[in-house]
Formats: sequence, C-alpha cells, structure tokens
Amino acid sequence: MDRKTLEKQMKLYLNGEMSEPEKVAFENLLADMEIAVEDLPEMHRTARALHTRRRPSPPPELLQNYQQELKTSFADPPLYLRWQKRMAELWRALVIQPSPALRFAEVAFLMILGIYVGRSLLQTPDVVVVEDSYNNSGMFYPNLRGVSEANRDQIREMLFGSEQLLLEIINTGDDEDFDEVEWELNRELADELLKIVVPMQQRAIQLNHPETLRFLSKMEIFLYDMANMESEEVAEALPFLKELVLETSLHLEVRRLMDFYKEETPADLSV
Amino acid sequence: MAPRVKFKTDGKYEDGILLMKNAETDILQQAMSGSRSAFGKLVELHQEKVLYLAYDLMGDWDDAKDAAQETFIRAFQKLSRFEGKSRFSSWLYRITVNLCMDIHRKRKRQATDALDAETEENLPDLKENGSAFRENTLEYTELKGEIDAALTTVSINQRTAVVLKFFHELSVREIADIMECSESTVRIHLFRAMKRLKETLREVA
Repeated sequence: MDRKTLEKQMKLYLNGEMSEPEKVAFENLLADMEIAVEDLPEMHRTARALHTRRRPSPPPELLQNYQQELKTSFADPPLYLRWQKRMAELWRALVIQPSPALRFAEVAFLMILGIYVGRSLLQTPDVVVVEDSYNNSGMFYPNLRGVSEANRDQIREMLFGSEQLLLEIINTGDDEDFDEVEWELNRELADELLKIVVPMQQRAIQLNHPETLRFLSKMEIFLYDMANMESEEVAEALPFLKELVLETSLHLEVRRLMDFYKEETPADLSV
Repeated sequence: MAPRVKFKTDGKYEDGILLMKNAETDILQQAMSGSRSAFGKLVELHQEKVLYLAYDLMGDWDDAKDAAQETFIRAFQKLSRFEGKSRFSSWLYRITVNLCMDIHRKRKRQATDALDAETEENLPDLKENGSAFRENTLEYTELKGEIDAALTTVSINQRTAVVLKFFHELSVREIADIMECSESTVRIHLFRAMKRLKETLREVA
C-alpha cells in the first residue's frame, strides 16, 4: 500500500466512515506498519476528544432574549401592514414591473382611451335647443355649453359689425350731407363681413339655430348690395336701404341675437 | 390503514421521521408563499441548532446570537432561492457558515496583528490547564475548554469542517454541501485540522 492510499484510508478511519470489517482490516494493517501505528492512537484520542466534547450552554438570559427577539421579528404583522404590502405588490405588478402581456394590455387600453377622448374633444357637440323661458320672446336659444370661446367670438364679431352698419344707415338723415370717406369705410366693412358670412351660416347650422341662420341670410343680401354700391349711387340708394332695414327689423333682430351670444346666455344658466 | 409512504432525505429513505418532515415541508411551502408566521415556526424549529453552530464557529455567545439572528433574516429574504435540493437545515447551516466566515475574515483583516497576539497568549493558558489530556489516563469529558481554545489555532475552514463533523455530527457529504466544496476538500480540511489539533493538544499535555 502506497502512502497516498494509506492516508486516504486513515482519513476514512478517523472520520468514522469505515464499515466494521473495513475498520478491523485497517487496524490489522496499521498494526503491521510501525510509523502509522505511532501516530494513530493520538489522532484517535483527538477524534474521541472532539466527539465527546460537552456542548456549552448559553447564558439563560441571552437565550431568552434571542428566542424572544426572533419570535417578535417573525410574528404576523398587523392587518394594515399586510394590506399595505399587498397594495405595494399590486402596484409593482401592474405599474412598475408588469408582465409583457399586461404591459401590452395597458398600452392598448391607453391608446383606445386616448382615441376616444381625442375624438370627443374634436367633435362638435350636439346642440340642444331650449325654448326661451327667459323673456317669452318665442325664440329658441342655442345651448352653447361645449361651444368653444373662439367660435362664440366669431359670431359676436359678425353680429357687432352688422349692427354697426345697420345703425349707420338708420341714423343717417335724408337731408344730411353725404360723407364719401365715411361711406367708403362702411363699404369696406360690408365687404369684410360678406367674406365671413358663409362660415357663420355653417356655424349656425352646426348650432342648429334657425334664428341666426335666418338673420345671416337676410344680412347677406344687404351686405352684397352695400359692398357693390358705387359712390355716386349711394345718395340715391340710401333712403331705400334705410327703408329696407326698418321693414325687415334687422337692427332689432341683431340686437336680440347679440344678447343670445353673450358670455352667459339664459339657456346656459337654465341648464 | 393509511399507506406507509417513504420520504426521501439526501438519497436515503427514512420513514421514521416522515410525519415531522412532512409537517416541516408544509410549513416551508407556506413560508415560501410569503407567510411570515410560517417562517416563524421554522425559526422555532431550528433556532437552537443555528445558535450553537454560530457559537462553535465564533466562540462567543453575543457574537453567536447576532450571527444567528442575521442568519434567519437573510434566510427569510432569500427564501425564494431555496430550491429544495438539500435539507432546509443544511441550507440554514450554509447561510450561518458563510455569515460567520465573512465576519471572521472581516475581523481578521481589521486586526490581524491583534488576533495573532491573542492566539499566542492563549497557548500558555492551554498548557496550564491541559493536564486532562494525558496518555492512558484521559478524562475526555474534561477537555471542553482546551478543545475550544485549540480550535482557534486552526483556519476557519478547518474549524468549520471540524465543528460540523464532530459537534453537529454531519456527514462529509452534508459538510461539503454546506461549505460548497467537494467531499475531498472537506476530508483534507478535517485531516489537517486533526493533525494541528493533535499537535496543539500534545503541547497542552
């Protein structure tokens, strides 16, 4: 037997990993080998000493503290803490680290929501026409809730310009000297208003307000006449225009419509 | 009559401890699904063994208590990594051993000189108190203090192997599993430790 094998056998022997027959055979072998036998009893004694070492006892107070602290550390937490933990886990699973499928579903949901909200914002809302209970005029007020401020301003601008022109005509006396410069300004204004009358008619259709639409239709003819009138024709045509305005009561109608499109109409207040 | 089921433990079939093992497995599964109180029950089952192992490795009860508590905290944090390939107790022992080795290395790095001086100082005391280790008239049970002191003279790996083998009576295979090395390495640690201990105890005698 070479030295390596011998050492290996000795380790097995000292570690107590030999079966009884192997142990006896090995002890017999060692008995024949002077050097190994010299070392073995002392090694054997050391191993026995280690095996029979008395287990030390911890100080009772330390053991008690140790057990108590562990018990406290791993006791069930209060109910609110458990819920807090569950909510944190849910938040983590849904928001911080969602699974790929969940992430896809979340993105799809957000896209659908975005499209829906975007379309709602871009679409003109259906206008609810409410009967005027404010002044019993028999007219209908458009419900302007949801109509943008920019759209209201356009209508107000149209009405304001129209009223200005109509009052100019009514207030000009028959025997008054005709001011050519002033009339040129009126003609320019009529021309400007004529350009926006069509978009305003479309807006009135969208708002589903027949009163506005009717007024704009009448006003369109009037504006056309004014915009295309030559300077030399004005003095002659002015009395007819004045008569036309008074007959059609356009100046009164425009005033009433301007009241409708104030910042807060009676219809807005009634909803 | 209920069928007698055998429970496999480290390659051996043991039916005598079936009920206890099954109960521990159930508790372990509950703990792995996040139950803190279930883990508390596992702690109750293993707290003493872990404390004694930490003491055997550290040689001080206060240090052992801290190390044992840290062991359970780490075990709870890493419980999801427990694959069940080894026994739960072996897994706990592995954490304890790693923790104690880390502490030992840290201390050694911090105060190598001081530690050496202390070891040197311990040897004369050993000699003074070592009368029990005498040929033919040995009273082995009286050697507790001397053995503990002699263990400080071997390396931490050798000490761990000796402690697990002789004080906790684990097999070489289990020790290899706990120390995360081969069985041959464990045998070498044991053999070298035995030689060293033999020399130290002879000096004492």
